[in-house]
Formats: sequence, structure tokens, C-alpha cells
Amino acid sequence: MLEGFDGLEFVDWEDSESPCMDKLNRLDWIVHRSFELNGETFGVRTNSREMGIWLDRALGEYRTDERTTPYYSIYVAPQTPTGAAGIKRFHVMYRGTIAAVRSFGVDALRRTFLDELETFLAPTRKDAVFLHATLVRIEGVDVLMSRALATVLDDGRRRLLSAGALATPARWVAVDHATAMIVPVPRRLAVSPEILASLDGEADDPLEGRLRVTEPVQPQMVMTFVADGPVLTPVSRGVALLHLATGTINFPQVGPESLRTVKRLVAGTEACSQLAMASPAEMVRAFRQGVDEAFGPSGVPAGPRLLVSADAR
Amino acid sequence: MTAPVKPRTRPDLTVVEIDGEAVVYDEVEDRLHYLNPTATLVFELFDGSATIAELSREIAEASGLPDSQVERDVRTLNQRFRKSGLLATAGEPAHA
Repeated sequence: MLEGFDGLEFVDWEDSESPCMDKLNRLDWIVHRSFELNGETFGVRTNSREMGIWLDRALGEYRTDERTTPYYSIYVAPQTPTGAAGIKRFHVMYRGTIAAVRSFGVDALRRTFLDELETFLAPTRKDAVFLHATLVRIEGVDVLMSRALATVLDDGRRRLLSAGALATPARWVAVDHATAMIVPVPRRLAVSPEILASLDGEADDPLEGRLRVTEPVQPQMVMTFVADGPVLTPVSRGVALLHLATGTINFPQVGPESLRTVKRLVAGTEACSQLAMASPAEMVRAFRQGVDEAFGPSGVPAGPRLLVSADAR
Repeated sequence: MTAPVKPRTRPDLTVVEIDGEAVVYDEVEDRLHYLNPTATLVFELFDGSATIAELSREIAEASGLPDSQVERDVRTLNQRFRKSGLLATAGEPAHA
């Protein structure tokens, strides 16, 4: 590693585990940092000196000198004039090789990056039930999607957005113990209040395809993933509960009470479905079809069809 | 000659019911189990107070299904529950 200006290091990583990583590695990364959170060490790289300085300010408490392979790559698009001749470019946060967040605003990118890092603290927290899942909003319907399904459906290629859906960028949600609703993840990272306050002013642009949980949400539908079977199958709430509960991040901390909380969350839904592995296009179509069949194309409940059969198999 | 078994579920399991189905958490094995409506009903009846034959008769009377069919299903479920470690073993206290 070469020493850079202002104490920032330049990156000389040449790990190439896949063609995607190869392509990513060719971008001009100039800063690399390693952090340790809750016993997990990971690397972050960026092509922006300013972003590197911000990382040090925001996450200095967690910095470590251990050499790590970059897990997060924060690409800050060069400033170009907008207008007829200019192109407005996304800034991108990559999780591994997946473009997890795209944003026109650097502060929005920073905010979602901090939200993402809160995941590292989740396994040892008790203040909510944390589930491996993503909240997706389509036609006014809030769908809680298991992480496995969200990963398959939306692996950075914005398939959900193309289907008219917005999704939370993180692959986890917080469920409040008292209300069993999905709530904004309470922040626990040791980041200065000034830095946090500076990030909250920038609104999300709908074009970015990102959904942000700012108030309690009761999802109307749960969608989970199975490896085999028909591409779209209505399932009972019991089956949905099983799938979601297996993805409880802090089950060891909260214990069986977390199962009861997730049950109340699922009990508040009106329909549950599961999608099986198929081509991405088929799965996106099945996702839309599942929502339409349950709620109608306009997101309005479709009457008796909403009732989910208790025969899950 | 041994007395007929009166199956009893483990008292330390966490059972959460929803719409007649159940998700059971076994803390010892750190495993979750899903029970469909039939399995949930039988699981609830396995309280150590009746034999499989007695329970089967009760279910058959209530459901109108043939005794033999019900008893076959209950015995199958009993085996599955036992294989999954959801039943108390003989001599285990009824309450944890």
C-alpha cells in the first residue's frame, strides 16, 4: 500500500475473485480503510478523497490497521455540468460486486452506508427484532420480502425498480417489540450527532429507486423464496412466519419472544406468497402478479381472493 | 406387558400459532418447525393424558372421519414428532 496525501492511503489491491470484481477493481480507487464492528473486520474503498476524509471522521472509532479485502466500494461520480450537454451520474455504493445503492446525492449515499453498517451491530442488540428482509413498495402495497428473494430479484440490476417498485437498500429490517411494525432502525453506531444531522436534510430522489423507512410500517404482504416449485404460490401466514423467523438476526439475544413479535407482524398482513427460482424476468413478473392477484392492479384489496388458504402445501 | 404410550410434547418448546398452524421453536436444538393445521391439532392434544388410540377416537368422532384413517395419521404424526425431538421422553417432568 502506498502512502497518500493527508495520511490517506492509496489502494493497490489486485484481488480478482470474479469477472465482476475484476471490472470493479479497474475503477480508480484511491482510498482504502479497514474497520472493525462487533468483531467483524471489513474493508471500504473509495475513489474520492473527500469521501475518505468523511469515513475517517464518521467511523474513526472503528478504524483498524488490519489489512482487509474491500467489501464496500463507494464510487463518487465526477462532477459534470448538468443540462442539455451534461449527464447527471449516480454515486454508487457496492456491496461486494453488487451495486447496493445508487444516489444522485453524496449525503444520501453516506446515510444509507451508515444504515448498512448498523447491520454489524444487530446480532447483539435487543432493542428490536432484526430480520433478514427488505421492504418493497409497489402500487401503494408494502411487501416484506425475505432477504433471499430480494437478493435474487434485485441483485443490483434494478429489476424491482423496472417493475415499478421501490425497495429499502439494506437487506434487513427492524421490527418493534411493542407494535410489531417495521420501524426505522434505531442508530447505535458511535457517530457524532453533527455528522448524522448533516445527512438527514437530503431527500431521496424517487428515480434512485430507494425506499426509506421513516415511520412505522405494517406490511400488507409477505413474499418469501423457495428453491423449487411453481414460480408463484400463495402460502399461509404460518409458512411465511417460518421463513421470516429463520432469518431473525438477533434470535439468540431476544430468544423465543422474537418469534412472537414476528408472528404479530405476519398476523397483520393480508396475503403471503412464495416465489421459486426462475429466470429473473419470470420472477419479476410473478412478483407483480402476486401483488396484483392479492390487491388488484391499483393496490386496492381484491375482495375474497385476499383470503389465504390455510392449506399451505 | 407395557402400558400404551400417552404422548406428551416437550414443555420447554415455544409454540406460536397463527391461523390454525404452528411454528415451534426448539431452543435445545435451535431449530424451528412448521406444523400444518392437522399436525397442530394433534400436537395440542399430545398432553400426556390419553393414548394414541383414545385421541384418534376423539378426533374421529369430532371430524366424522373413519377411526382407522385417523389413527393411522395420528401414529404417523407421533413418529414424526418423536423423530424431530418434539416429544417428552418417559419419566420427564410434565412442566419445566
